[in-house]
Amino acid sequence: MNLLSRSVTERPLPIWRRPLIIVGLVLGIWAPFKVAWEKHIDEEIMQVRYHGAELNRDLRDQLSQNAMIGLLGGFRGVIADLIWLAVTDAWTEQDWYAAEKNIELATTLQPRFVPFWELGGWHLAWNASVDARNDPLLPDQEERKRREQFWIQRGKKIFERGLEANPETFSMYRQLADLYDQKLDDPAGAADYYLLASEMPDSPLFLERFPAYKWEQAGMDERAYDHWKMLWNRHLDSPDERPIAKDKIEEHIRKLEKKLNVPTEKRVFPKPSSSPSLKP
Amino acid sequence: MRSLDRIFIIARNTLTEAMRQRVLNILLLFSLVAIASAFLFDDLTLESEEFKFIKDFSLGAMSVFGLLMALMGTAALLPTELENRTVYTILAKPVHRAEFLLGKFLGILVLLGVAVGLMSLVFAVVLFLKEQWVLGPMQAQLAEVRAEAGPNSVEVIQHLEAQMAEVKEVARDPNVIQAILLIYAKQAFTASIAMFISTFASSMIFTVATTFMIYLIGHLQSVARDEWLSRPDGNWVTSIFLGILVLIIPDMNTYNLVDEILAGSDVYWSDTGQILALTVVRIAIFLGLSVIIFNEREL
Amino acid sequence: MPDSAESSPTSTPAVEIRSLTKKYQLPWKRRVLIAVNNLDLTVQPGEVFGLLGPNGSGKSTTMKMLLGLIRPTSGTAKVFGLPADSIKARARMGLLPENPYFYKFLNGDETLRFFGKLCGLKGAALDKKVDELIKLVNLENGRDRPLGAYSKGMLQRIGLAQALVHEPELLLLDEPTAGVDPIGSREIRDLIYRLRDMGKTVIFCSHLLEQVQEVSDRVAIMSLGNKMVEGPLDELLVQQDTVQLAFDDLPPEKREEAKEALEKLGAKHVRLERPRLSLEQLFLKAVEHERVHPEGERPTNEAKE
Repeated sequence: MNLLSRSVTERPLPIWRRPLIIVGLVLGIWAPFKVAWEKHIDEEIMQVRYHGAELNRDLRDQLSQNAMIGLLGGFRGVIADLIWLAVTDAWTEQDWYAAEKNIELATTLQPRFVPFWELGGWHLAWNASVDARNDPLLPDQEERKRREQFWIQRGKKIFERGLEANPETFSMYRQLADLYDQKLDDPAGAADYYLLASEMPDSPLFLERFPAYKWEQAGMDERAYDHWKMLWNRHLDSPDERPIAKDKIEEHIRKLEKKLNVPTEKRVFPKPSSSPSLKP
Repeated sequence: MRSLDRIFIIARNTLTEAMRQRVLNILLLFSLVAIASAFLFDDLTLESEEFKFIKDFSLGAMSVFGLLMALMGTAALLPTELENRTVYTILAKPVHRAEFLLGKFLGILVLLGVAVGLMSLVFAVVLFLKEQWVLGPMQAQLAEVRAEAGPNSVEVIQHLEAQMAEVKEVARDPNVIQAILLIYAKQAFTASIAMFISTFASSMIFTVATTFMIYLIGHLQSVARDEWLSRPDGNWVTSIFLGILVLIIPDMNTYNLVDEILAGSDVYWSDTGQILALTVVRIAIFLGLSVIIFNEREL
Repeated sequence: MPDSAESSPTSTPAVEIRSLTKKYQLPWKRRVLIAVNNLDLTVQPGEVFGLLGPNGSGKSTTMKMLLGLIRPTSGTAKVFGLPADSIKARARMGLLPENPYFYKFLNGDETLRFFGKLCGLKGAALDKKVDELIKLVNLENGRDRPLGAYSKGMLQRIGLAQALVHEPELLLLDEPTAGVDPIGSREIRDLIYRLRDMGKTVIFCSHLLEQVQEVSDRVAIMSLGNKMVEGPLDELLVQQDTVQLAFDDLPPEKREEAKEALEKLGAKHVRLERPRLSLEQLFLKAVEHERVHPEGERPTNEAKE
């Protein structure tokens, strides 16, 4: 029979048996549960995506970001990867503005993939800045330094946003600490970030000594001494193995106790040298 | 139960049809994508990037191919049966229409399951090969350092071992299982929408186009929902339009947890379980409605 | 079937159709197409019943209503006393659809197994039934061949075999010989004889009169949804008011003489013609009103809503 022709019913079905009515009814009853359930799941996904971090961006911004992320449904990773390949291209061609734009895009799509933030910030703060300092086309040393600082600040911004999106991993703290240390000549700032990094559960053990090194470098000897003492007490019962490096801790405590003239009774190591923990 | 037997028989027949039409050739295409993604991007800065690329591209391909199968396969089910009149021969036997429909759908579900399962297997093999490929030089270096036993060897060994452990961790991320389950759930749900539409559609094109529209709009539904729920005092025309959209169109972003898994977020089985449960309810509703409409349809 | 013993064949007709009507709303028009109009039909168990009519006369629609594939607009159809759209009724009916297409990807054996399993057969019983049917329809050579490679006649035969797989008491055959060559067509006719000998009730639709005439006990002729004629072939084909003279050929002038002689004796409407297949005559007469109108003004079974 012609599919287009409808059959005529002389004795229509009673109203509760008509398919359209039933379909409408089922969808209608399901609708409120559906909306509530879907909203709940959506909130949980947001929780996973931002890890509960409140992003201080205005609602409009966040709305359009969520819309974009939604539209890519299922293929967000692939798109982010393709954009990331463009970052690598821009890097080899030293087109730093293009690199920055694509880093922003990739990290917007996948804010929870930490390497995008790490490498992105590194490209800008290290590669782009050095490139600017050595740029023969720039007129004078002054301008080159200004440009260098500009890219360092852009890289710092990437790290800071990465930290916002991933506050529970040590990596972004460490990146910022390295930046303060190596690019901003601010060992005290670096020390603060190293301290935060070392307090993260996924931090490698050796990082715990970094704040003290940097405080010493910044001339904040007392702060450094306190930190070394804290480390000594923390590992009092541990065997002297490499990542802990008790020998190094002891060495620094002895040095600082001497330098700061700590009264003998308050010293960790009242006697000079020949401690059993010091290897011959 | 007789009824279940008949559903299984029809499902098996549907599966046989797909197999004999070599639907699973799509696996070759998938393998190509997976292998290419593993060995084309081998000069990236970090190993974790390389593994991310394999996962993104392979699971992306799994989504696309599975979705195509779910959409085209399901949309073609009823039209081919009607066009070839095979439906008359089956329904002339003591078989309920619901059994026929459910059997057909079960066939598609199993087909999708087989396809996703085999693709996962290829994916696992590629991941394993890549892992060995990356670990190989590290192991060689480790052996070298151990043999040397130089002054810094303890630190180097520790560093290498940590690096190798990290590679194994990204390569053997168990969360990928959740991602694959969610990808399958999304395909199954899309198939049930196509099934529902095909019970009243007059052509396969209509079914494919409409299902795809629902699929696309479904990805924007959550934006519409937030707008609708947060502004009860807005323009009433917009409000009604958004309301209908929100109440009827399913939220396809429910399955976006896959993206979070691939991006490396910690995902809990409870979240995945909840999404799978919602999927089961969704499919049950759409199948129920399909049966209601198909029962009244003139063949 | 165990329960057929309880009801005597005379009290429960195999098929009982009462005032069955099917109307379709034509698309984009305020017209309805009456596919089947107020049809009454009774077929007794064991009968071979031919349903005749030109294309579009409502034969297939009637068949589909009998199988519950479409819902009647009004009226009822019962099969062995059961509502036609019930599963129980379908368990006692077998259908050979018009131009049967089965799954091309299955071979003959798999096709029969598939339908057998659908009807609840398993294991040894299924094996036995499949062997039996393949032998019955003489399809040994098609057993392992996919149906995509079947000829028209083979398709009709496998179609008949699957219709018989659940041992139905009533068989509906829709154009069983359409597109089949004369030899294949003969084979199918022989099969229908065998089915009748097995005690099955057979209803078949056709527009090939010769065949219907050969095998049917009773026929009905439909046109534009209406039943025009119904009855046992013997009765229908004997024209009570006409006597036909047959003779070996005379020269033309002698024929005129013979005609005049008969008219002299008082015979009216004397016609000289070669004997025709009588059912064809009957058929043409029954559907005559469809044909006398010039092209473009054909009456249709459309009606204003």
